[in-house]
Amino acid sequence: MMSRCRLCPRVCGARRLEGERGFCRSPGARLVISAFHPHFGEERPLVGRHGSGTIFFTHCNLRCVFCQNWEISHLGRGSECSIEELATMMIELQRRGCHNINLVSPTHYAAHILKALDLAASRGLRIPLVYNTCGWERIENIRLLDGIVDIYLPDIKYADSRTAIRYSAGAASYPETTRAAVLEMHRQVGVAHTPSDGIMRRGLMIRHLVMPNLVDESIQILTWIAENLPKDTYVNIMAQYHPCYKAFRYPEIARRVSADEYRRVVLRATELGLTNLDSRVTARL
Amino acid sequence: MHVVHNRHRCLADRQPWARAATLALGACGVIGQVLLWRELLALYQGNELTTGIILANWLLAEAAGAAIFGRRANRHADIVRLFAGISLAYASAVLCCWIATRLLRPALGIAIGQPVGTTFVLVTSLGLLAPASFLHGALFPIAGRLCAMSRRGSETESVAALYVWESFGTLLGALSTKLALAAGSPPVAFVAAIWGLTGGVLITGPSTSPQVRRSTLLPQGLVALGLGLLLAATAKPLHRWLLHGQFHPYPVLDDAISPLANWAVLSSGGQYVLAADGQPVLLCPEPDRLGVQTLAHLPMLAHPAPRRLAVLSGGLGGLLEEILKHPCIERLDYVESDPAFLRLYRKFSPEIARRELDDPRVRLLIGDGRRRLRQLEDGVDILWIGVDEPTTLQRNRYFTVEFFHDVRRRLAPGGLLVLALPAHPALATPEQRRLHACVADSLRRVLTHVRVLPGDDRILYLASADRDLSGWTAEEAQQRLHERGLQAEVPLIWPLVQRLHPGWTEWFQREYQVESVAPNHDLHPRATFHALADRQAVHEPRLAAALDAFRQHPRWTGVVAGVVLVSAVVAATLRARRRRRRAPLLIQVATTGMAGMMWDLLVIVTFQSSVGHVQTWIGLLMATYMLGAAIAAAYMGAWSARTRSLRLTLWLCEALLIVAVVALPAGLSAAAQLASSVPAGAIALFLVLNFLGGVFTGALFPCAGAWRVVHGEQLERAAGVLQAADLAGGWTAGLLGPVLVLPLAGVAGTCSLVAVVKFLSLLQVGYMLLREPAPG
Repeated sequence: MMSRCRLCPRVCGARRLEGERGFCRSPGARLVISAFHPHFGEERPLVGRHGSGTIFFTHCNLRCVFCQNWEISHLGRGSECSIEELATMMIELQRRGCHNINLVSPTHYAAHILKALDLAASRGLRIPLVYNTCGWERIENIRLLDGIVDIYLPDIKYADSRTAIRYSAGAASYPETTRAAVLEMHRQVGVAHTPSDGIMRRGLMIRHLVMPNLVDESIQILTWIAENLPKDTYVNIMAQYHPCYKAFRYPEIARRVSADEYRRVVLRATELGLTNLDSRVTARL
Repeated sequence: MHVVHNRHRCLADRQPWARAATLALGACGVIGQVLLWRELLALYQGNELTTGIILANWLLAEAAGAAIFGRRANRHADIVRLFAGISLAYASAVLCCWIATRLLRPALGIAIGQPVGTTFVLVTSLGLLAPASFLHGALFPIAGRLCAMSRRGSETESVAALYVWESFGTLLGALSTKLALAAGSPPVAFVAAIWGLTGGVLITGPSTSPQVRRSTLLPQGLVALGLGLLLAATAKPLHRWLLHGQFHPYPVLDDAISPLANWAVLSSGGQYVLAADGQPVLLCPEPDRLGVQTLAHLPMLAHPAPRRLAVLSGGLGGLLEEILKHPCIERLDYVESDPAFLRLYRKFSPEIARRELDDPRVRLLIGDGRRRLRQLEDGVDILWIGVDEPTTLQRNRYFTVEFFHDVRRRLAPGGLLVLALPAHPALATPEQRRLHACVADSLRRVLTHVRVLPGDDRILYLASADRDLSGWTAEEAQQRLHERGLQAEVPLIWPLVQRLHPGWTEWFQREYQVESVAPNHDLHPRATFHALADRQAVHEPRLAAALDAFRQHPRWTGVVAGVVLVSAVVAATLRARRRRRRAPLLIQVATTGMAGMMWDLLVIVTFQSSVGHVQTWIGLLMATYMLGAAIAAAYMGAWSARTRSLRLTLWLCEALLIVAVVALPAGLSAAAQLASSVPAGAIALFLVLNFLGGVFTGALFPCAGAWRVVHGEQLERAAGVLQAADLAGGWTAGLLGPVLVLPLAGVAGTCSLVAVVKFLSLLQVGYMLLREPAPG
């Protein structure tokens, strides 16, 4: 899969095993990680008491112009490590009491991750695995993760391919590819319901970032969720967009999301009957 | 030489004109330098590293111009026309550089606010500055030839005259820029001044033909003057036009020029972007709700009854509005530094501005936050520092032990200090960890109890001398919210509560644990070094690694630098001895240039640390330095012409400079201490110190020139080479001083290093001069 890279929908064909960089700019077959530690800034059911065991992978296949983590995703700042070390990180996070292993931007390192998981599982890794992705995944690859990933945490960013082309380096297939991937994710893990102890162990948790002037697309996305997934699908509608990185080159997204825009999106979500909205969404209403 | 003199008989009685031309040369130089420095700082979102690079590139190209034309000026058939041509070329280069600086980002597709790397800064600033600075450097030896041909005195006196009048020109130019900035003149006015001055000099120039009495350069002069007047007349529209080009495709709705920044307001889909020096600093009227809620409410809920508050800048855009929701507040002092920013904010965010600034509990204070803090009454319950990172020395003033002492004196019993530093949990570089450790350590030295509240974008620090917040929980915060009846106003949502998650504290202790890091002081700004290194870690990891190596091994760095320096000095001495050249004098001039620049930097840095907003005073500081240099050069020029002990004079110049450098830390320390009680007295003392710096460094140049001239060197060549050596020394100090030497060694260490370098120079000069025959 990496000899001519087919790990993401770009299918860029880079000879990563020979050291060639992919479209995502990840350095061939090498694995680069920017940080790993218990994280307390994620969704509440993932954080619990001891945190979400987050591993931040460098580079990204989507390459959005408004990326908030551009130092990691675009510049690729981090440290090179081996599969053995990745497995050790997972075990270490479990040892520290984390409730899950949260793989951030894993798509282009999926092969490394599977190998590391093999190792970690043989050493006693037992906590749930969170696949924290931009959503733009090849369905074939997601199928390979069936039975491995416990919690899928995909973004759904765009409903219109023209928007995806403009802001995410020509990712024309984003809307339909992501929808197909999300449906497959749901098939594998089902709805994410927070158990009585407050710690999520399985399910699909969708994130959607509301962007300026794209309220209609937000509503299209929520409508699609309401029509194609159970109404109690976990959805986190996020308001924290601010123009970052190259966003000022695109005047239409060079501002904050207004309170009114955000309110319209959330109200529409409730009108559509979506009942499992993240706690911070309802608090903001 | 005789032939050339005959060709320029026209200059024989034109000494005033030659002086005026040299004066204009100095003035045009500093005006262009200040203009392009400000523009480039805005282009790169500059800090001290950027300033060092800009200054170094300017000096490098200027030194090249002086050295190259120093060798060629005497061979040129018509020195007056050469001066005119290069003067016009310099004025054109400044104009083009300035326009190119404004349009570089849009031309290269670099977004507004998008950071750029140090390599980019290094390469583009050299490319942008080189034409102007090279031409300005070239003018120096040419002006030297004009001075020599226009006076009847000796060439020795001409060197002094050149240096004196150029220094006076720089003084006048620096004063003019200070006044222009204070008056809010647009940058175009600076370009217009250069063209006007050039035109004036050419119009009044000599006639090279006996048939005509008017200046041969009249047509060029009239064109230059006309262009200057045209630029002055169209300054505002031209400024606006360039702003539109700079911010294309955003409509620029308003702009303001203040001594602190060039402001512009851009329209963006119903919201407004307030940009300072080209960089967005505030989006309004829609606040960053979550950010300001966190920064406002967590500290407010950490205190049982906050009545008197103070916010030192950064409060507009929602923070004050959120704080004022708490009913227990009796008074809030808000300090903002730039009235131009306030005016624009009130205009484009009127509703929130009204709620924030017109609230009867709010007292608005204009001025520097640190100085205003000293004027606040004691008994402040919570004090916010709105400065987000010590990336510049101006900002570093809010993160030092000395500042925290000032804060402690103002806090009421149980009072809290609140500050925030950027952090990125996914990319906590070692440099960032050291920055946090440095600031946290500085805090703990003064305010014993420090509660750290990490988050996804920044880490909040709540510090108190006598209130222990280590056990403070989200439940207690919730309870206080209820007690104040704010449940509806402030929904204590998860991102806000999660800052109090006990896991964050463990995370911080584990992730941000570094080896022992020394605290941050006004006169030893280590936090600035760590902040700059952190930026390099993201943009230029190799440079960050080099900086880290210097940080880890400062003594070895000093030893290596010392060995290199001594080797260079010994090599130059031996070479000079063999070939009977005057290389040691060049080393003396270069190290004096280095010492002068370092002196200037130390005064500026200490001024910035203790008084603040040095950019509004930098013109005057530079002017006093140049005044000192000019007076010393004038006196020493006359002395050199009549003394029989030039050798001893050179020795004494060197020895006095060493003594002065050794004494400088005491003077700076006194000025810094005076700033807290008598700011005006401190400013006066800084000006005096910089004047003395000019005196001690400026005295050498005419003596060195005289030594070379009496040993048979042509004046323009001597002037050019000495100018190049002086600038090369300044370049070294400009590049390394603010970024490396000062943060790592502090003021006292920097002075010691300079003294050691000058001592080595003293030894080698003494050794060589003893072997050089005394001038006849």
